[in-house]
Amino acid sequence: MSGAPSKLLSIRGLVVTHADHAGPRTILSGIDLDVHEGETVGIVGESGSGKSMTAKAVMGLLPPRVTASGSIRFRDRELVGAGEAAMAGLRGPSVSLLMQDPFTMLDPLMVCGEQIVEGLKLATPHASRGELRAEAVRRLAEVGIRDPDIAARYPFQLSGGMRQRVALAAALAANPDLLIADEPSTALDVTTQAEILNLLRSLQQSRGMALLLITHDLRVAFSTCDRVHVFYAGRVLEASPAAALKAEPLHPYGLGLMLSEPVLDHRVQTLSAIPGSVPTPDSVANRCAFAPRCEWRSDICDAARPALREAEAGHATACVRIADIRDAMHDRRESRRSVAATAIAEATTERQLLLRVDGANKQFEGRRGGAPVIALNDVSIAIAQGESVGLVGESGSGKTTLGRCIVGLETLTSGRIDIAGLDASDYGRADQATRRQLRRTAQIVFQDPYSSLNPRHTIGGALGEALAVNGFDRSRIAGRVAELLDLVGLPKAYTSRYPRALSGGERQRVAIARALAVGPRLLVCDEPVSALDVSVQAQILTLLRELRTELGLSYLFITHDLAVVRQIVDRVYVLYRANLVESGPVDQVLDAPSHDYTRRLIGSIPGSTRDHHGEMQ
Amino acid sequence: MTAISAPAPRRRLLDWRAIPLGVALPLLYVLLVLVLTVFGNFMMPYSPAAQDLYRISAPPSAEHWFGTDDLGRDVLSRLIAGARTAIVGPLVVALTGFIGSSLIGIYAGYSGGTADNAIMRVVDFVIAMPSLLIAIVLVSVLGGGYWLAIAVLSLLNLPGDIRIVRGAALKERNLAYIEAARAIGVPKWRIMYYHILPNIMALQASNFAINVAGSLVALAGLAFLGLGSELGTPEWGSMLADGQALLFSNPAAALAPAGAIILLALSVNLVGDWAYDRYTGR
Amino acid sequence: MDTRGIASYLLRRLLLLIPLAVGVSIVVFLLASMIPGGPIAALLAGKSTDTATIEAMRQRYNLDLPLYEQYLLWMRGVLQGNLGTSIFTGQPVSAAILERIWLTLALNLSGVLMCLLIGGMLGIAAAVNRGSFFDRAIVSVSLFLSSAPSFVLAIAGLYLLAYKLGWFPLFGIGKGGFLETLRHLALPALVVSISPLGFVTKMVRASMIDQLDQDYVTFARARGVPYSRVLFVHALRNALIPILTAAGLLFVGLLTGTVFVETVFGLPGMGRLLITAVQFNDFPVMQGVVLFVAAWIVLLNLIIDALYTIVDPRVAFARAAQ
Repeated sequence: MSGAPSKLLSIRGLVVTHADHAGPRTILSGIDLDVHEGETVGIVGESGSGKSMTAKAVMGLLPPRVTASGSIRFRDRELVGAGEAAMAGLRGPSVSLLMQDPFTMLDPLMVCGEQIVEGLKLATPHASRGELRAEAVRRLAEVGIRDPDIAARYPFQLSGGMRQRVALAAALAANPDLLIADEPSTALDVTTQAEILNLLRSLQQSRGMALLLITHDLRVAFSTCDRVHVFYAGRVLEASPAAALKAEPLHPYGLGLMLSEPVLDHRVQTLSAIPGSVPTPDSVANRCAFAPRCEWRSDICDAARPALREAEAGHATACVRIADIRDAMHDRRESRRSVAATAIAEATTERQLLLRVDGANKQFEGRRGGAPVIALNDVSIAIAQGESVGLVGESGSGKTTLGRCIVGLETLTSGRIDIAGLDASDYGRADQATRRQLRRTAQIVFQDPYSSLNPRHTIGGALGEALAVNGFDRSRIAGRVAELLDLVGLPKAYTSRYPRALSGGERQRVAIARALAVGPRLLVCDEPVSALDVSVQAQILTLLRELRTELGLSYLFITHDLAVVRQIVDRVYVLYRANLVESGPVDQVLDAPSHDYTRRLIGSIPGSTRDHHGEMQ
Repeated sequence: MTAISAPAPRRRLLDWRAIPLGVALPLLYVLLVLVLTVFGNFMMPYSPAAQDLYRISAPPSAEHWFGTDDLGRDVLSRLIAGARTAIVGPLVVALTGFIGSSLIGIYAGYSGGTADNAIMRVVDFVIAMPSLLIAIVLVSVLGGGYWLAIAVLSLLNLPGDIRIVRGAALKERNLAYIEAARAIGVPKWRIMYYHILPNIMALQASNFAINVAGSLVALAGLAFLGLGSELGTPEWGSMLADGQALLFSNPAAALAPAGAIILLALSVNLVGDWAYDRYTGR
Repeated sequence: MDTRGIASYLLRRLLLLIPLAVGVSIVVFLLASMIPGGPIAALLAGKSTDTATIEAMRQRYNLDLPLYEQYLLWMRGVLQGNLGTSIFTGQPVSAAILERIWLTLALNLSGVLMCLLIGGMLGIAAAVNRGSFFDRAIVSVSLFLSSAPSFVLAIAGLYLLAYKLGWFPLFGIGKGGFLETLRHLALPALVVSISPLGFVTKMVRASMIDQLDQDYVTFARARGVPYSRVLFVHALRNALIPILTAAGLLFVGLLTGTVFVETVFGLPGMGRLLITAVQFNDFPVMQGVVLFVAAWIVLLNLIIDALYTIVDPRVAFARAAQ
């Protein structure tokens, strides 16, 4: 690019409020952000930061009762208060939006080609049907779909990755100058994620359009964006060129976020988590939004709301104490580099075997009379007493099915499961005493903490029930509930609370406490942190690490996230399309993968230092 | 974005000032009818059977606010006396629906498989049928009567409730909290009635209201066709049928029960809608 | 779409209906025996007769045969289009039904059109302006309408519109002639549609709101698709799927309403035929009308089922794959 690119989008003092039943609620409290022609800008933030609402405000598609004030300028037009007619003219040819979920974004009743043609008509209103159709096929090719027949397919006939490509073609159909992509890869599998991000990057360059990428994942932002804005509780805490931010974050939140990301290449001594959870914008209105969770907080942080100021050329921060704490932050980052010893015990075979799965097969009936789906194909794994084992794979690999079979939520079609010497192949056929013994040995923690607790039962009720149904002496339940809460780091007062009063991280702690209620030796953890914000993920991972040492637990840790695996397990199994393709000590598998799929998985991680062949670049 | 909303403050069960006027008035009317079913006897100006032979089919007057019918009976007194038949039957039908659908619907939705298939086949069949027409034929063939009508309506009404509750239970079954309960060894009956039922109570409450309103209309319809209580019993539906002939002499004899029926059905629906929205926090 | 797959699906649906039809016919046949005193009591209708007459009657109506033989005989007749004769008028039941069916159908079809057109428009308009004064007004009115039963509205309409205002005739069908008939049917048609209209409006509104909240609507607007197209091509078509499910209930509601409206307005339709038969225990007529209505409902559901295939490609593919 030659010369200074001109400003395309310029947001100043954007405030977005929701007129709730209980009164107005702030979602964004004063956002400044610029996007220049042909530039890629990232918005990084956790849930509740207001990053998606920024996209909707720019598009003029705010939900009912949500209003924007301040200024959003696109080229020389003011968009705040512009009215629907003016906005409708901009959407498509000037600015377009790609959303997160490929399964809900396309109209299920319309063939893919037609959804692209809708946008083409805006750009070329006089084109004939035939021309439009031919162009739609070309646009599909642009997003990497070479098969022209896809244009005549319905979305439900395509995979998630394909749908996201079609949606991208539809979003770009009217040739927008600015594309806003709101978590465009989050709902996809790891390998597909990388493909979509690469595609976005190459399209941004070939079309010379500007891209505003919204993501919760710093690694994604660093790998794609020129500049990055860090959002928190409805405001910008830090704005900087991506490289500068990656090299040295100048806000404690930016640093905390970066340190919370589990490291892929080595196991760290301590996972650094940010304590607490994200506050609402209104609860931190006239002070530093991050102060309540910041270890360097002082009175000045609570005195007034810090402005976003340049600390270095192009690198702005909203931390008033940055000059004082910069060295301390630097040291904190350095300490991260210390490597912890992994593979606590190599001699697995010498220890007593706790779980043994032999030749597990599982088939599900096809939907609506279709062909049966094979979820597990001759899978064998073993876990020793006190060992932490990872089960890695993408959605549909069968990893969750295996976990569910182990705790008796599903039954294998054939094969054998032994837990602590008891036959756990079919819980339905086991006698009452065996079943109870199995449940006391193996328990499970689920992915989504928002649905894994009954909203109508108190925390104490949920834990008490787990004890009562397993024959625990009723008079001692209250005491044991308090012990369990203490074990997972929650105050006793939570006994009488309902799940809705708890944050996601707190709920996951309760779910872990419930699983531990009966004193199991094996905990199946099914993606226990993937629904949580990055800053909270580390809290839960740390808790799981501590519990393991304290109680001598074994884990079967089911996840798609290799960095998490590196931090928490000793050995790892890799599942690919119902088959076990690789296994071994975690360092060996991640550093020198032998199977092609494992290599691809590792190469797909944004910012990964390895290419698809698993070698250093 | 789940974390945006702060935990909602615990609301009190019922704050009278929080009830909008559009709900308070219907609620008062429903309460009035309920009071009349118990204390109606003391509030009637005349006996519902007493005939004033000097005033037959008389229009409204100071003595007879809604006039008299073709036998010289006071319309207002009969209206008050009819409150009990108007509300008791629908309550029985709705209660049957509530209990039956909670038991069978949750069972079918949670268990799935053969039992569910069998139950749903019957249910789908009955739902497709015009239940009020079937009730008309059945009640008449079996000899008529108020409690027979209630029994027939209760049975014909139940499948619809079962389908709704089954659908809701099916949705709950796939949530992780049910899986967690299963994994920890909570017995099946306890999962169904201690875990799932409380989570579908909002639906059940609104369904209860819909059932009360619907069967109120259906029972009045049966009475209108002469398939309700015995001849001469004050009943809004049959008063309406009798009143049709009096439209030209004392229209109030028909319009008063007409208004009473519509208002009660509407009120129950309004209160039910409001309760549902409140409970689900819309 | 695989037309042959869908055709064979519909054929299988039809075959599945056979056991259902047998079941319904058995229940309908047994209606006669449910009458207190059995069919013979209904035939005698309270008249006291000597045993010889009764015996003759039993033989004439095959009542001396075992129940299953009676059923088979009756069923054979039904399959040949012979539904028996009315006890009171002596008219063949099939002729009585055919003579009256047009009126009931006219009321129902005009009701369906009115409900879907007006209710559809109001429901869509309310959904688009969700939360506005207009929306709240529509919600209140449709709740009021759906709470108002047809027989109550019939009486109120009769008094107000026909008697007080004199806009419509009071009773009956008139002396023939197309305009005259139309004038007599206008008020009944209006009355019978009111309550279903409220139901359809509520249904369409809820269904549209559901769709307008979907991601694909936001996405379509975000990539510049004109709002009218988003509304009518994207959202409405998706909203049709639940609306189609409710259409079956709409027909049932209209049919039920017609029975009452025909009774109040003294119209010679199927509903009135049924009510008269019910009042006099005229069981051959009852059986005939109920069978007819059952067949009508089953046919409607079959049509609705076929329409799903047209509206929703997912259903079409799943069915063709079976």
